[in-house]
Amino acid sequence: MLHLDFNDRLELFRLALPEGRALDQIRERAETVALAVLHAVPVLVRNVLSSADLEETVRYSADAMQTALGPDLATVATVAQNDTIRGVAVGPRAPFVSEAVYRAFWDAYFDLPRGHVAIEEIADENGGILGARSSMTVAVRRGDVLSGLLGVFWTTPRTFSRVEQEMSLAVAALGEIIFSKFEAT
Amino acid sequence: MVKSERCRLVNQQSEASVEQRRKDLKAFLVVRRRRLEAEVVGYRGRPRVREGLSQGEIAELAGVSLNWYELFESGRGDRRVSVDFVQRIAIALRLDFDERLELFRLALPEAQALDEMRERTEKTALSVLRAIPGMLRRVIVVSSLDDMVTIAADSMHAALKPDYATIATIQTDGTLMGFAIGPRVQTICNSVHRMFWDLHADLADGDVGIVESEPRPEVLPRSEHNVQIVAVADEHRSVLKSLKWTTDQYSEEENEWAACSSLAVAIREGDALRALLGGFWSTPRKFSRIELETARAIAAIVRVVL
Repeated sequence: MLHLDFNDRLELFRLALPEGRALDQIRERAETVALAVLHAVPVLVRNVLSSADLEETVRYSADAMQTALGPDLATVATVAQNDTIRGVAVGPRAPFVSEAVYRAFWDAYFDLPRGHVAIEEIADENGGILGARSSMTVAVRRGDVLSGLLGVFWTTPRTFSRVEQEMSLAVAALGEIIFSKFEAT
Repeated sequence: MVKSERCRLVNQQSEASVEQRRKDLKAFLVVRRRRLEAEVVGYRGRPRVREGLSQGEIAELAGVSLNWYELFESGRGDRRVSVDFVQRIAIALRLDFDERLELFRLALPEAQALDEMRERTEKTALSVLRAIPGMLRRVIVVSSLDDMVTIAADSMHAALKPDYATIATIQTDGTLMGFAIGPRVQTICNSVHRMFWDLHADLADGDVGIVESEPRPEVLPRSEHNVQIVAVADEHRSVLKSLKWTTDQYSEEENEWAACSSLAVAIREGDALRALLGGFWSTPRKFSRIELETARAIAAIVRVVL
């Protein structure tokens, strides 16, 4: 019989049992995502404050989401300017994102309110936009008017942690601040 | 709040969470026991007055005593069970992997510890993510360093929730100015800001200076302390300053400074230290990577806006 203190027992539990390993992996995943998000936020703030125009800001926002959350398909950002929908995509499948995808994305989430996260899990094996099996989208609004959408897309069904959802909302909130900066100038 | 009141509060909180866990464990076990079909697990021909299996049958299947199983199902927090015991119950109840995880979480202190670590990590990350847009909204409309650092201190306090105070110390034209927020703000006088400044004067941009000290009495007027400030840069830790100092060195007023552990970040313009931000706790503690990264992120945002 080993006389272990609590920390040793905890270590043994983590190492020796599948349940311990699973719980530890859940904890580790939460930490990894949180750290990635915390690294990405100051970079995003620096970039958007120095950006020259709205398009650059949108690209930086998409970059931050791609870096922090690492979707295996793409991060897609669309923005409405002078009645035109324009978009930016980053990530492994970005080259395949067409104008039609930006339009479909816009139409699909047009009603998404501020402060909400739309989470989609697609049962169909062909997937939804970009063939994604899961996605998370947030809206950037000026007053009641939708000015942009930001979505992250994965090839597999997955759940989204509270940190991931909050990161999306934080980026959308930063987007609104930056939109107002461009409006003011 | 005096120390005894604080301890009582902490104990009440933990008693409440133990009670909740006890109820959850009981509900979890009763539901799983009642959903089992007697025939499937090999009990045939016995008259049934209620659905599922009895406590005695589960104890028999698990190879544990009925008395132990009854105590376990009642969620008696004073009875410590082994990992082996919980595994036997999980097999007897035919739990799938996710259910086993849930049972482990509810029944074993080891699993609870891991779960609490995850929760703490998430909570801190959520707090800072919620604080940052508000911080940026305020920071970009002010122009002075004082205002920016004060806003940053607010955000740091909202994100890290130190139980002693959050302090911002700013140097303008060679004069130190201070701002503090938190439950023990009344103990923070000018000498504390000077002490904070002197101890962290060499802290580099991007590093976090931490003190993870031993417990001290609640009130320490004019006594001597050993302080070791460790600078953390990414994964690397090095001693920034190790010294003996007395509150006498700083006190022109009665100093009741009694923080035990702290975390600080510097804001520099070129080589010159312009401001320090610090979170202070009344108890010794180890800082998680998330907490360090949160402080670093807040300082980085101020630097960017500057």
